[in-house]
Amino acid sequence: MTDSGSLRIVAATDFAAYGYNVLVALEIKVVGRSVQAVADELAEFPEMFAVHIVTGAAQIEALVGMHRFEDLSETLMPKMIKVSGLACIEVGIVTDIVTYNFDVGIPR
Amino acid sequence: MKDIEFDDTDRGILDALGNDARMSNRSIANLLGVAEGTVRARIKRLTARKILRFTAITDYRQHGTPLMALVRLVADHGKLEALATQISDITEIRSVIVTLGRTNLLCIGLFESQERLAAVCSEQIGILDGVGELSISTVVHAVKYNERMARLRPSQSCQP
Repeated sequence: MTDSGSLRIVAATDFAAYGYNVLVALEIKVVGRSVQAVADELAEFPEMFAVHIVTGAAQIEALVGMHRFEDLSETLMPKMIKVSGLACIEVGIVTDIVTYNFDVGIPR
Repeated sequence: MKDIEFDDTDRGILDALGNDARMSNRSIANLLGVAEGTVRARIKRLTARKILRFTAITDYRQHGTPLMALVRLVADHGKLEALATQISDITEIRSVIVTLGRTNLLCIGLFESQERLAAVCSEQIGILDGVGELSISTVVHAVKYNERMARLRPSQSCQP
């Protein structure tokens, strides 16, 4: 199963162990460009912990991890404004994670 | 999270295991230039403090639950904590995250079908006291998911 990629052994680390004290959930609407292309470009950013293409009003859901709030304006936004096709971004600042089960992942 | 203190050895161990979770203590010790016993003790401490956890990640399609969905809620702030706890108890729900924004609860779940997703949302979540607007998005492609980073410690604010 490990050879096929359907099972992976992972050493998971708490977000805060690497100083990711700020987590932000993004709902992203894409216009005028392939959603897949936008998602692929966003996924290149190391701050993006998760990028999913979804159904609904927004086409991409993303989870961003940062060390401090200033990273939003100083690091992430300068990169995101260069990504074409981003029409609207709804931001949800994570204030608490009540449950986080991560033992089921995506195929590689 | 300011109570977490690390030194270079701790960080080195986390980095090494992050790259290869099955790396032996001896290999890590050689890599970092420390004693094998130090690595063993540090891993034990990091695990006990819920900073490090070894886990087997399986492809979600093998669970007979091929549909991953995100359910966002606008919930009554006064009932947020109770709602988060109630929703966490729903079998299909894997993660419950409190957010500050247009919506204030993000619930991520795995569902066996669209019908089951609709049933959970309408019959188990939508009826809860304090739930207002509810929107559902289903994942059609998971482009990136970093399972190396997770919330391992007990529920608490993400802000220091």
